[in-house]
Amino acid sequence: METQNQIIELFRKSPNSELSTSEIAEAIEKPEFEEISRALSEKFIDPEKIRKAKRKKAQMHRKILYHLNDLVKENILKISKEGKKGEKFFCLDLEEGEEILIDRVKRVTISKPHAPSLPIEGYEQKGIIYCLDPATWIERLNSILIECAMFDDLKELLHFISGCFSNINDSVTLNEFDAILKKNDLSQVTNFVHKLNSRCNDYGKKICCILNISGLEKQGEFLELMKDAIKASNVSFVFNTAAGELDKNSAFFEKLIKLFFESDANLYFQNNDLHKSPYAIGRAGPYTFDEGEWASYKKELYGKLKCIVCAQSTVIVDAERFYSEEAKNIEQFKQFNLKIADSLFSINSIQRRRSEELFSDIIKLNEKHIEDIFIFSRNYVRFWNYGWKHEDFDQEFLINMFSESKKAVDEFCLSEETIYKSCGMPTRLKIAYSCAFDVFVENIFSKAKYRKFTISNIKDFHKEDIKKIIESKENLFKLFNGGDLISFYRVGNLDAKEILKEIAFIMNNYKLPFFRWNFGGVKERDMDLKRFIEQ
Amino acid sequence: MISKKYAIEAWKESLRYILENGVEFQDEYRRTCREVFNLLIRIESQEDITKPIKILNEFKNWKYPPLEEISKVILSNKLAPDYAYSYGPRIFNFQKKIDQVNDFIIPLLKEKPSSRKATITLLDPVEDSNMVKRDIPGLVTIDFKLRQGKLNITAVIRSNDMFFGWPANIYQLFVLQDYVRKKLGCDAGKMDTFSISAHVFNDQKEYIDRVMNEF
Repeated sequence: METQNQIIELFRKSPNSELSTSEIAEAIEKPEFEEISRALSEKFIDPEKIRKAKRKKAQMHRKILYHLNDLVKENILKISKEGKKGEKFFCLDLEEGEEILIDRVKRVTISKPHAPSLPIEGYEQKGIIYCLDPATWIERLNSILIECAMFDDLKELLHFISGCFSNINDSVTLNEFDAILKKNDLSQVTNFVHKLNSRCNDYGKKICCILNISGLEKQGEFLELMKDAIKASNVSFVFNTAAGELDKNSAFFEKLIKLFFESDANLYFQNNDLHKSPYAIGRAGPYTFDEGEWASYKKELYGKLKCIVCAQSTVIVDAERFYSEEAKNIEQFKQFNLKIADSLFSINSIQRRRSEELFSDIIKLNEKHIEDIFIFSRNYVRFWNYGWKHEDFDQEFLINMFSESKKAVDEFCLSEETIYKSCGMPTRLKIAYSCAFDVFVENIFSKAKYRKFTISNIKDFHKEDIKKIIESKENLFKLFNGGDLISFYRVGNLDAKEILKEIAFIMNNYKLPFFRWNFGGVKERDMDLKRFIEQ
Repeated sequence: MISKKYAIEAWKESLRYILENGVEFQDEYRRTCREVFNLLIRIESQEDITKPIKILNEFKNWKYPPLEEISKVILSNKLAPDYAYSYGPRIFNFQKKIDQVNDFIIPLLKEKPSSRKATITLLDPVEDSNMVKRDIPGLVTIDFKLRQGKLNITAVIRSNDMFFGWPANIYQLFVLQDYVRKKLGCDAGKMDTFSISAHVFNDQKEYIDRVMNEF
């Protein structure tokens, strides 16, 4: 009964939350959970001790699950979803505005506060809009950036990341991951990546590590690390570099290309000549910061903060469905986007009022700089199937439609910031546009309509149709201030030297701050030499 | 000085005064304003203090903060993490050292009702006298005078957006005056705001005209 009361108390404090069995176990059995985690993260440990710790962890999970199932039978909780590896997630079994009265040793009343009615709910029902994630849209932040250089100890960093997980529903970016390599030996970092990947698995999160090539001293060790780390499905790597560095570090990059080819993994590049603020990968799409704001962060706050919030709330739009079911004209698209802005504003307002309760873990971890951690955060509107490379879509009209709606959204944000500032509540409302990843929306939204190209060699970049498509993507990069991505799918023979030349060509000739190279087609030697560009 | 019985009358009169007498200038964020210096506004009655906010809520072009949030900003001693600053912590937990209202103003006025020392400050030079800091409090000083059994309140506002800001400021002062008044067990007196830079933005002109003509 005691455990059940503790679980009830957990949900009473945060009635809108959706918690996994692991999260509940960690909250209820904190000392025991920490002891097990410590045992499992020991570097040199007797295999018997590991087995014991794992057995203990499983026992603890079973015990919590037993009580959770009882609470489900009593209609106090319900299973909201099943995560990876079948882990169950729980939430209160009541609707907004309803109350549960639990008569036990003491009488407990739990109520779910009313969430405001939002002008996008109709679109949500029609499958035009998806909120990331519907169950944790208000209670959690999308993404944070952690400065690796602020941590001397990998254990402390791992503890910090795990501490933040309960307040996040998408991803954590580890900036300047090269700093970790400087301070730790290869086996420690390998072990760290393993643990990160495993925790991401448990908690359903993604980690993105950003490597500044200019700061990467131990290139050989890093390649060794990558042989193993590349297999970590929840951890991705972004190489922040510039055209000049490709040439200087050609041997390193060639080996890297081979490694990614062998693992059939995407190789992400950020062109540092074009974009200074970190580019990262989340579950639903890329994240980045505003360039001007990042410059002031580097000037004024760099070295003071362990983490900053990158994205607060995200709405994903199936633009194709909007065009076909609503309209394909500038005014209606603008009004639709203003409704999204209005909704994000309402959600931010709730988050502001309940921030101490909702983001308590992040706040606790950053107590000295509470007022600075949200200083650069933005909300995201991600677009799927929006018309780029659609054969029947006028690309000029597309750019025009998006820029008009972005202008209106920016004006709305500025008005709200002016109002709040003048009322003595200086806060920010920033809404960034970005793209959505196909892997995230494939079971939610319409089928991809865009054209696909494959690439075989550098000459393809001189073809008029390819140049046109890349140029329209350059314009979209300017509009998608929350970050965009272009993918080059390589076919033909694997020649790392040639591929490196192609990457350098893109960096030197196009304004594409973030792109990825995929080698999936290289193995298919029988394919025609075509380019394959995908968002 | 603009002296009116109700907040709505004072607000409309001050907007008219700035439009007629204000000097145009471009601020540091490149927005064009009309500004008058040292504008003193007096309100005699707290009745219908939220009327200007209700009018601002009539417009569809923006969303004005809810009253609950406006009052929380001045009464809560905790800093919400996404506000650059907040009045409440400056008043009730200044420099994390002093509650200026409960530990000073209220005991002072209880012991010496005629005191002229019941002044609190919100500007913190240690934190705010900083060239790179973008946002510092607009409301810098609040003074309480207990006379003839009534608690009068005066606020000095260094920079005051009279269209969007003043309606919230006057409501916040009302909330604070009410808090102190109840603790002292007295009635509410007059409310004065002294705006060093009282301004409106040129891009608000269309809406200001509507406020003056339609409400």
